[in-house]
Amino acid sequence: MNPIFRSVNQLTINVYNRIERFKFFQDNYYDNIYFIDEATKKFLGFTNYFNELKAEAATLCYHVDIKDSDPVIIKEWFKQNPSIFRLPILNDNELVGEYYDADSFGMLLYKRIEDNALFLMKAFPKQVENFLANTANTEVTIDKVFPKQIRNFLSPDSKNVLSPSEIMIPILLKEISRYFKDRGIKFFVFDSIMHSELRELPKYRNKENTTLEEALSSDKLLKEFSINDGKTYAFLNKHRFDLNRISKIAFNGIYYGLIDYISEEFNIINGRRYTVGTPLISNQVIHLFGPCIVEGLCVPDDKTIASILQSLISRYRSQNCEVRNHGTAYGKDPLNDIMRMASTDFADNDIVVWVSGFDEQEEILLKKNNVDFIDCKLLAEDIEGTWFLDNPLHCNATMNRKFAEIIFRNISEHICDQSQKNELSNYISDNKIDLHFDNEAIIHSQELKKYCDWISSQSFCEKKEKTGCVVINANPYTLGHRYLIQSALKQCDQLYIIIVEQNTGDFIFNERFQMVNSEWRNYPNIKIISGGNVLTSSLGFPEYFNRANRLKDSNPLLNHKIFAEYVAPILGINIRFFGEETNDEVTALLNKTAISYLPSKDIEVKIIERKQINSTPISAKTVRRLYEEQNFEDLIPLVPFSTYMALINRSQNIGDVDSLIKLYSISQLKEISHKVKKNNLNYAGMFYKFGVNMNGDAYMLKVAQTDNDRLNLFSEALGSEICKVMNVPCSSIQLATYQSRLSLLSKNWNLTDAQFFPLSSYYEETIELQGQPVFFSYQTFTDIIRSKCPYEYHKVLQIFWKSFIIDYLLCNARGAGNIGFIHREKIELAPIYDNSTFLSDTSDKRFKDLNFPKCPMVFNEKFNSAFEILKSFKDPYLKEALSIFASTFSPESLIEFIGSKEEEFLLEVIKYRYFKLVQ
Amino acid sequence: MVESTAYIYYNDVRICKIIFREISQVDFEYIFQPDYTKIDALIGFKGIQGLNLSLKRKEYIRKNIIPSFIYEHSPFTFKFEGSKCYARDRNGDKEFHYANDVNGITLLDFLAQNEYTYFGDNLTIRQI
Repeated sequence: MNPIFRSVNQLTINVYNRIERFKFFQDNYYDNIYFIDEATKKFLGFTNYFNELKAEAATLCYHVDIKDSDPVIIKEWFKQNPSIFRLPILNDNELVGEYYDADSFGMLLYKRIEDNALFLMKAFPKQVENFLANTANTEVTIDKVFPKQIRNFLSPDSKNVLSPSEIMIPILLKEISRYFKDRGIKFFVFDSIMHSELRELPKYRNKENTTLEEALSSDKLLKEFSINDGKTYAFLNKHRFDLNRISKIAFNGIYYGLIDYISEEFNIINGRRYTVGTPLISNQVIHLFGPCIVEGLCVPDDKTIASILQSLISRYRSQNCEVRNHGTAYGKDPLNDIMRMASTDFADNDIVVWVSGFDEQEEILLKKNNVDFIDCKLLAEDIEGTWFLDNPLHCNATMNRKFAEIIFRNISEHICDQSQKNELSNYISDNKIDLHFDNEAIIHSQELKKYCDWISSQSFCEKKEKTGCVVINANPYTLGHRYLIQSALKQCDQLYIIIVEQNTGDFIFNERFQMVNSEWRNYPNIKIISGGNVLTSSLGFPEYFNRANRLKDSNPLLNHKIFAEYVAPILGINIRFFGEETNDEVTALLNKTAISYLPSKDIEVKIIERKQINSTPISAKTVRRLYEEQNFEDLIPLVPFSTYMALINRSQNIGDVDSLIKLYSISQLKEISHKVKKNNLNYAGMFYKFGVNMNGDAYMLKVAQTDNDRLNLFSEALGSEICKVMNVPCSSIQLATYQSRLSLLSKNWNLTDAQFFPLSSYYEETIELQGQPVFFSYQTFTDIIRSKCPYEYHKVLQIFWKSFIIDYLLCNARGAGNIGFIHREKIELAPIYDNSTFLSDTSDKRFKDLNFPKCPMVFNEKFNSAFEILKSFKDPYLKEALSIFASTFSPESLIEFIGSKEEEFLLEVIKYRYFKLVQ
Repeated sequence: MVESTAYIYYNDVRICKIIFREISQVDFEYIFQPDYTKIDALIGFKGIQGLNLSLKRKEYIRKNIIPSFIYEHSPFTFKFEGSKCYARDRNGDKEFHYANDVNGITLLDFLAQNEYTYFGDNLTIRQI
């Protein structure tokens, strides 16, 4: 499950014609079509393929309001509704978008079959011509739009209309049967019961229909299904939410095959489900073809029909006979099975076994071609208990054993123990059919076309000279990724961060996207987009997702080709950044081929050195290992806070989260309790503070007592950093821990022969002249400065305005007590101090209100907030400060400062307000 | 009416008298009476926060406000632990109010009896 949000403009809306809706659904099997009131824009409901198949298609209305659309809630919603793949999101009854399960995409299987059949018609022109000439008494129309199943639904009375598959299946069945016969290859067909036929058996008449997702969500059903088979239960339990995902398919130019997948109990190697117990050297091969019943979707490797059959053959007939599993789990597709047979190399003594559910017409065809047809439908009568999950092609080990036994009985006499030398060849090459394996078939796929259409809507409005791109998996997002992005950003004008969409580990795309997005979303020169199903996906670069696979077979060039020829031109990318790779061979190969290939496509390649901690490169793999070990302390220096919290939240036994958060934020700081000695100095203000001596210097030490204090100390630390960037004299401060509490050391100013006067004391002095204190206004401020220190006037105003901008960024409202002057021989402005914030804690969203906090200094009645003043107040010193700010400051410069919950929050605050100001 | 008296010292030289009067539940005043004969003789002295001593006023009266000098010289411990100290958030702005009594004695008495050392000048508050 991989829920991802897409906005309303990416959805299909108000398709009123049912035929048009079916056209849409057959290309977008899992998608919704939404209906909104064209006048009021209010959400009316939606429909989907499953709904349309009902006689009277109703408009469905479930949805989630935007206020509830937290990713965690959405993920849970999808878990609770396992057969729903799209979830509309409303805001005030208006459709704003939908969450879609990116693991569930693509076209209707029937449509896929028809497209493939149409494609194959071109490779068999003579056979098609003969077929049409011999079959039809009247002229036949070929329906290139709808498959038979939809056509029959929409127009039950249509006659003399054939879909491409209705032409190609008989042709190819005849061709392949004859081929096997000519070569002496034994060909057996085993007919399993289909879902529609099951209803005819009395014992299944009242069985409820369920989807695979619903079945997997039922623990009771899983236990019944895996009765006396703990291994299968453990396997299914582990893959409750991704069973379909581990069996992915890709078109190879001839048929849809499986993409390799390596795990402890489920392995697809070289496109074939692994058969347990195969001999090292074989002199005969039993080839099993068919859909998921053959692949063994719902059982571990050793419980597939092939593995059980292998065991039976090895035990009772031959040690030198190999069973090969060519099963493809994506639904019943006889055409695909035949094309797989047609392109598989056989020796003459090999045996071909085809297991599937065949309808009446297919059975007639098979028998007509004189194949050995064995009806296994009655197996369903004999077997007790729950032997399938959602449909009879998803069998348990018990049923698989029954199939293996029946196959064994039928083929046993043809199994020979003698070694024979045979030439290997296949139907396509022997008959010189114009079909070829094409591992780059994705380039011509609908997936790539759709992705290209989508990213064109995601590009920067204005294309700049240097447009860079990083592609990251962020599984999970680490400080290494952050460093890569920061380094890339410094070398280009605008940057695309493409997040690999396909999941490889614990972190689903949405979580990974959020981790990156939370940090970079406010940068106008950064766009974060998904890699979709094509870019660094199992379709474009399968090796990336199957590291256990053989490196020599890796083909990263296809991945680069997709990027360079399709993605980069649309987005205007001319620099691609890669993180230096020293450990992972597959990624290293990806980088190496990029260096040699991408420049030929006018894309500069830059390899960024890896960010290191203690001389070791930061790696997501290390982070995952530490997470597995629940070693949160060692994770701290490797990940940003957002990732850290995601890891904490996912952990089942996390203990006291608050204490871990505090541990995280302060463990990087030095404990100074034993180094400092209290002196007798005291300081004004509300914060808990006192004077200390350390290493011969005097400091003010602030010690956080509350969460608000912690936020303020981090605000001071960040404010001090911004001051440095903007050349504002500021108190020298450093964060530390004092008695394990977050603390801040501020070095005392040199006040030898000097005294400190806060600005508030200057205002107080006016009482004698005015009779009462004057307003804390900008006008009086400038008057006071002119009067007190005319020689400092220019400098004070420059620093005042810079400080004013910093306060705006931090949501600070600087009062007259927080601006100070030091009286020596002359009066001079004291270093800026107290860059705190008026935000209460890290959940305080008031920072998005640009009128917050109210500015205590009065400018004139027009202005209430620092934002308004910065935007509209006319003052040459303000203008100058804004100009310096724009040219010197970027929130990016603050990224690598400390790393804590508070800092993460304040960075978000600064970024948000920064971009609002510079917009 | 409660009244307290204390003195500001600059390097052991008494330079100003402070009188605090609590006139009612809500009204109070601080009166500063500088000793110009001492002040004019000082070397390195830069002034008292909030008072324009160049005016040579006999008294500087601060009615219903905490004078800068008192505020600045009040240590955090008092502000935090003082029973009547509170902060108020009004329209997003913090507005601080300091009580004029701490554990039954006036703030001025409290500061004078504890002899805190303020970081920003060499002025101390004493009662003798």
